[in-house]
Amino acid sequence: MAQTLSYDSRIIVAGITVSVRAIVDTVSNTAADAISVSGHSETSPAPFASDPTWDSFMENIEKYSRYIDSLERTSHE
Amino acid sequence: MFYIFDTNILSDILRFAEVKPQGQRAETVPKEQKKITIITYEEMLAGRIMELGKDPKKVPRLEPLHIRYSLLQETFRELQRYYPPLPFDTNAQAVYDSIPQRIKNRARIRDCRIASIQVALGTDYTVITRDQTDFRVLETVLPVQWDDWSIVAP
Repeated sequence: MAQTLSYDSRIIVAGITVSVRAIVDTVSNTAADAISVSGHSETSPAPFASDPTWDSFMENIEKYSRYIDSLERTSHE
Repeated sequence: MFYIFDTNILSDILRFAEVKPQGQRAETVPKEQKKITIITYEEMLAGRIMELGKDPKKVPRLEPLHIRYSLLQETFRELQRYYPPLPFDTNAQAVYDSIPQRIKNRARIRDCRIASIQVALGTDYTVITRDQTDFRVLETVLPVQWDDWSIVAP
């Protein structure tokens, strides 16, 4: 029972996180920053569920990985 | 047992939580048994910093700078949950240096380094990854212990 309650509460928190991100797009920059950071839940199971930059972020990581690969390989040529 | 989430697995958890099998399994593991390496710190922070360096004149639909900084901050916060990261120390370096160059040319370097950290730490640690191809290559030369939680048993 306790586990069920805990799971439900995290889902609710995740919902709030999503709505906060929606607000970020429409309110002033300063206020949005405060909400975005302070509204980030300590218990959110998917804190980046609504990250608008996610695909680009993942591409960046892959680019960085390939850069490290190339550094390592060219240093041994 | 300690579980070392690689960058892809941690990304899946942060993005999808329990929607994906790896997130479901991660949820069953006690917090103190979930680990990440300094390699994942490096990659995730690099990914966010690269986003900050993009030119809005050249990249269509780029998010405002304050959003990108906020996401860097939130990423840092998420990484802190796993602090301290498992280090790439002298023992890991020794393992890494023992990997033949022909293997490093076939497996991604990030996986070589994460595998080296695990091998240096020993069999109490298991890498959780979905980079099966790289780890199958690495296990031909290292006693690397790894598992792929993105696959659901039939």
